[in-house]
Amino acid sequence: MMTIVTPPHYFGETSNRTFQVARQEARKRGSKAVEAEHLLLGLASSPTTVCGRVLIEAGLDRERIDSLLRQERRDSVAYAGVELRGGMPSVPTENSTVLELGTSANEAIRRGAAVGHAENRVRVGTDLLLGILGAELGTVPRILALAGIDRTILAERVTKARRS
Amino acid sequence: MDAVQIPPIGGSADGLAAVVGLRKLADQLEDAEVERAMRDGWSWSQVAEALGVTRQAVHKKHGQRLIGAGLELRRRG
Repeated sequence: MMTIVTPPHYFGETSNRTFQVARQEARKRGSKAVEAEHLLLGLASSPTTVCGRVLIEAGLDRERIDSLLRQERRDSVAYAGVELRGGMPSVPTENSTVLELGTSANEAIRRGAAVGHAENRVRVGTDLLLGILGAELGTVPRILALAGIDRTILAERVTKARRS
Repeated sequence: MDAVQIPPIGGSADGLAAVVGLRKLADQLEDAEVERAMRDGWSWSQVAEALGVTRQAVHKKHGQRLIGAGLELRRRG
């Protein structure tokens, strides 16, 4: 009997594009690792997928996520009395640097894989999105809160959209 | 036992997010300012001295990136 092994980062046919966009977004922002917020940007960049559709319906297109990330950064450093007048200094991470997956991305992948596993099926993109939305603290929950989006309700919508 | 659910915004969450934001800010500022100094003709030793680290440390951290950025770097110093 042949055993099918799903690659650890496989979340359906569009996952290559998701991770590619996530890496580009991380690099563009000078990040040394791909984090959950970059994966969210990756999922939002494909409006024809279930994930893209749900995110866009929730008002989370790529531009809005980008703007929320900037706001979150400004607000966070302001707590320590630092005012980002001209935004963050931006030096893109060079192409020669291999971007690792950061902790928040790895946790999102782990949680997402568990969703597919629990339902005994091949993983799909919405599992990754549910994995991202499963974080209670950190950058993604903070930008959702800033946008006034209830994380749990959004996750329910994702599950419903996958099943319909 | 599950920990009590904590809102992602407000209180300690804001303080810890400030730590994350400031670390990233410091990293990106260092990248930008080291590159600027090198483009202005500073040597590795001068950059290292200004940052309070060794020449080897600054070269190891930024050398590859600046070569990748097409910067003509001084062989010595």
